[in-house]
Amino acid sequence: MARDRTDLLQGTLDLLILRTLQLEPMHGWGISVRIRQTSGDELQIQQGSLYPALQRLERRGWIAAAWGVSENNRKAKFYALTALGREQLATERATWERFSAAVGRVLEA
Amino acid sequence: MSILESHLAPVLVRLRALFGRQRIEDELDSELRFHLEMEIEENLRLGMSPAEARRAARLAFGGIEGVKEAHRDQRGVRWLEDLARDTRWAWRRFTRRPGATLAAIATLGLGVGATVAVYGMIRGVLFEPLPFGAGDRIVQIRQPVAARDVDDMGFSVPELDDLRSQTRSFEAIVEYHSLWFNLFNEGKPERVLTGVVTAGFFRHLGVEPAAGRLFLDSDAHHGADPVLLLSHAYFRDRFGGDPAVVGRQVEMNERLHTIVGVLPPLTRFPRADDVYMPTLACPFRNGDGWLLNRGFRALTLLGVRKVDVTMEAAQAELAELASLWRSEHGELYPVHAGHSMQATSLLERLTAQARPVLAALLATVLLVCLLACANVANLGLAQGLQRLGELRMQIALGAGRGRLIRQLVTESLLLGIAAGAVGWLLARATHGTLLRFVGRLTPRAEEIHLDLHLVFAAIGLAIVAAAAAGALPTLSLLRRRGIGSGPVGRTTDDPERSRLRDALVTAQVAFAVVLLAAAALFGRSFWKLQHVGPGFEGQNVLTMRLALDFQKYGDGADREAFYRGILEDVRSLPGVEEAALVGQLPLSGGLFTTPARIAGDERTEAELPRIDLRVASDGWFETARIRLLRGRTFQRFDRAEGETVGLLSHSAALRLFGEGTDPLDQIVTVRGLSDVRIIGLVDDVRQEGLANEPAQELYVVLAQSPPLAADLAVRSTRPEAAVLREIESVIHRRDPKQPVASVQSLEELRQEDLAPARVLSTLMGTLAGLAFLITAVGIGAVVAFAVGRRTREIGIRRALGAADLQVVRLLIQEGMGPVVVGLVLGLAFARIATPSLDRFLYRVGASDPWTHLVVALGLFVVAVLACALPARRAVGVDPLRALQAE
Repeated sequence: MARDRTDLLQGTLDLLILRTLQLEPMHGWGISVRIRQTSGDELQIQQGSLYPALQRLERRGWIAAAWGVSENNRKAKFYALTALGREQLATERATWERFSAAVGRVLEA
Repeated sequence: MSILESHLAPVLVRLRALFGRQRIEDELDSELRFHLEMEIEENLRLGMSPAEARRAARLAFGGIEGVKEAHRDQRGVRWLEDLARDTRWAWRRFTRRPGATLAAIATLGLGVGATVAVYGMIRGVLFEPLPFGAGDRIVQIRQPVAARDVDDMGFSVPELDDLRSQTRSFEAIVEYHSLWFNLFNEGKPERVLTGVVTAGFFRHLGVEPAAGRLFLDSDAHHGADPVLLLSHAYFRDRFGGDPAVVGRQVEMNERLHTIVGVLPPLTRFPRADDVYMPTLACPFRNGDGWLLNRGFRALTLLGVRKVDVTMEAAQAELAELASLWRSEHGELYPVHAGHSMQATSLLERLTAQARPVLAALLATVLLVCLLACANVANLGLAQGLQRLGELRMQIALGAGRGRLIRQLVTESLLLGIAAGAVGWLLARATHGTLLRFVGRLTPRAEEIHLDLHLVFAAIGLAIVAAAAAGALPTLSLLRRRGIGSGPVGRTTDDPERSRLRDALVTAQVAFAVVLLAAAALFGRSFWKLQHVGPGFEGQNVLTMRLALDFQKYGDGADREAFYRGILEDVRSLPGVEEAALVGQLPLSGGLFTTPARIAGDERTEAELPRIDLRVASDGWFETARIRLLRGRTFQRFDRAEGETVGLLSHSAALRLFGEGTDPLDQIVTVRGLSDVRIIGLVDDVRQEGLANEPAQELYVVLAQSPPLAADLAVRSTRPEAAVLREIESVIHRRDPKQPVASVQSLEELRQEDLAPARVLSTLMGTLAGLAFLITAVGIGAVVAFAVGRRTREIGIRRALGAADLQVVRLLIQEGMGPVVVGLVLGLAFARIATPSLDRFLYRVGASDPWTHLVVALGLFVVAVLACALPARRAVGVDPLRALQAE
C-alpha cells in the first residue's frame, strides 16, 4: 500500500489538491478527475493516496470538509480551501516554482 | 472559512478521531463507496458492460482495507488506538492463562522487590550525602597499629596540641571523647552518653542547630558557665521535641548546665551520644593526667581538610609527623608493631563494615533477579506454540514487525507495572528488618528511606525485566523462517527454541546452585556460632549497669563501701541465688589492654605482651558459672587491706607463662597496680563476641580496685520484673540518685551477639529458598509443556510397544540433560565465587567441597522429581487418545 511515500511526492500531491480546490469546493472523486483531466491524463491519483492525503490536509487545517449533495443527487463529502490553506497554497507554489527552476538550471548547465 | 475556524479545525479533527471513531469509519465508508460508484458510472459511460465496469472499478480502487488503514494513519491518533487495542489484547492473553500470568508476576515481583530493597540500602548508606556541611573534606585522623590489629590507638592531649601546631593541611582539628555521666532531669537520675567535644566541633563540621545555638569558643574558656547541646534523638525522646527546652538547666556532675541548643538529626558518629558538652566541662579532660600525659590516649580526632589540600598531601604530612614523633618519643610508640598515622574520609569510616555485606547482598539479589527473568522467559518459550498461532493470525491481519514489537512492549508494561507493585510491597514489608540489620553495621542506616524514587525504580526494573523475559520467546518466534506459512498446531518441536529453553534451564540451575551453596555456608556458620561456648552460662542471670557519680564517689574507699553494701543487700533478697559485680559484662568488648610483666621479664614496655585487665567482685565466677580450672576464686576476705590477688584466664596464662610453668603463686606486674599474685586459673570467656577469640584476661578483685562503673549480675529463677524492682529499691535506699541502666539478661546478650549472623543466614536462606523454588517450578513447567506437546509422539512409542517405564525414563533423561550441565557449571562458578564470603563465615571454609556437593545432590534429586511428575502423567494417557490428540 502506498504508505511509504517520499516527502517530495507527498508535498506535490498536497500542492495539487490545494490548487484544485482553489477554484471551487469538490468531493474526492471530483478532485481525482480534475487532476487527471488538467494534467492531460499524465497524473492519475490512486484512491490509496488521495483519501489519506485529504485527511492529512484536513488535520492540518488547510481544507475543511462538509457533507453535501453531488451533481447526480448522491450524498458526498465536499472539501474546501480554508484561509490557512490559501496561504499554504501560495507558499507551496512558490517553493515548487523555485525548485523546478533550479532543476531546470542544472539540466541546462 | 474564517481564520479562527481554520485554526480550530485541526483540534476538532483530532477530537472527532478520538471520540467519534465509529462515525468517522462510517463516513469514510460512505465516501469510498461514493467514489467507487462514480468510478463504475464512468466506466459504464465509457462503454463497459455492468459487470466489467464493476470489476474495473474495483481493480482501480485497490485494497479497501489498505485505504482505510492509510486513512487511519493520517488521523493523528493512531498510536493511542493501538495502545488501547494492545492493552485489550494483552489483558485477554493474561486472563486466559491466569496461572502462568500470576506465576510470572510473582516471580518477577520477588526478584524486583529484593533488588530494590538492597538498592535502597546501598543508596542510603553509600550515596546519600553526609549531613555535614564540610562533607567530603571531613576525615578521621587515626593512629592504627597494624601488627596488633588495632584500628586506632586514639590521641592524647599533648599529641593533639602537636597536630594543631605542626600541620598545615587542616582547616580545623577537633577532638571527641565520650563518657557516661549522670544527668538529673527534673530530679530523676538518668544515665546519658555524653560527647565531650572541642567548642568548634559542630561549627567546623558544618552543622546548623535545629534550635538555639552551637557552642561558642567562649564556652570553653576558663571560668565559663557549663553548657550542653542536645542530640536530636534525645531532644525528641526526653523533652518531647519542645523547643522551649533551650535555656533550661539540668544538673550534671554536681553543677548546673544550661541547654543552649539542639542539634539537627545527624549521623551517630563516633558514638550515639545523647548530649554534648565542651571540653572545659568534662572533669576528667581537664585533669593533669590527661593534659600532661602524652601516652594517655583517649581522644578521637576529626579533621577538616583545607579546600585546596588533597587527601594525598594531607596523608603525606601526617606520615611525616608520625615518624617525627616516633623518633622524638620512641618509648611511647609501638614502633615495631607497625604504628602509623592516617587520615580516612569520614564516609569511608562510617561504611567500612557495611560495604562488603552490601556488596554480597547486591550480588545475591541480582542473581535471584536474573533467575526470575530466566524463569519467566522459559515459561514464555514453553508457551511458544500457542503464541505462534496468535502471532500468525495477527500477521495475516496486516501487522508488521514493528507492530508486534509494540505489542510486546505493551505486554511488558502491564506485566512490569503489576510485578513492580508486588516488588514494592515486598520491599516495604522487609524494610524494618533490613534496616535493623544494617543499623548494626553502620550508623548510616538512618539515611535509608523508602521514597518515590524507589517506587519508580521498582516499576522501571520490573518493566525491563518483563521486557527482557518476554522478548526472548517473541524474537525467537519471529526469527523462524516461514512464520506466515505452515499449519498451526504442528506437534513437532522447533530445535532452536528447545535449545534456548535448555540453555535457560541450565542457567537457572547454575544460579540456584551458587545461591544454595552460599546459603548453606551461612547456615552452617550460624549453627556453629550458636554452639560456641561463651565461657559462661547466661540463663537466669539479670544484669544492669551502675555508673557511680565520680564526684560523690571520688574516693576508692567510698566506692568499695557502696559496692559492698549493694552486694550484701541484693544477696539477701528472696530468690537470689548469686549476685556479683564485674567491670564489664562478657561479650560486650570494652577491653582495657595493658602490658603485663612477669618476674624476670626485662623487656621494654612496648615489647611486653598485653593482657586485658578486668575487675570482678567475689562471687562473679559463681554467678556467671565460669569454670574454675585451678586454685580458687575471689572470696569475701579478699579486701582492700589484704594482698593484691588476681586470676588468670586460661589463654592469658599460656601467653604469659607458656605450657610448662604453673601460674599459681606467680607475680604479675601491671602499671597502676602493685604486684598481683595469681591465686587461680579460670576458663576463657568470649569477651569480644562469640566469633572472636577469647581475650586474655587478668582478673583483679573489685574490692581492691573499685571502678567507677560496674555491671551488677544477679542469678535468680524468679521472674525478672519482680527481681528488678526489688533490686532497684535496694539500690535507691542506699543512694536515691544512683541511676540503674542497661537492664538485660545475660542470655539476651548472647542472642544479640548472634543476631547479625542470624539475620544474614536467614536472609540468604530465604533468597536461596526462593531461588530453589523458582528453579524447581521452572524445570517442572518446561518438562510439562514439552511432554504436553509430545503426546502424539509418546502415544506412538507406546503403541509400538515401549514400556511405560522406558518412556518415563526417556523423558526424565531428556529433561535432566540441561539440569546436569547446569549443576556442573554452578559448582564451578560456586568454587570461584564463594571464597569471597570467607570474611562472613565462622569456622567454615567457603570452598568446602562437601557443602557444595551436598547442595548439588539435593538439587539433582529435586530436579529428577520435577521431571518425573509430568512424565508419569504423560504415560497415564490412553495411547489411542494420544495419537488422536493434536
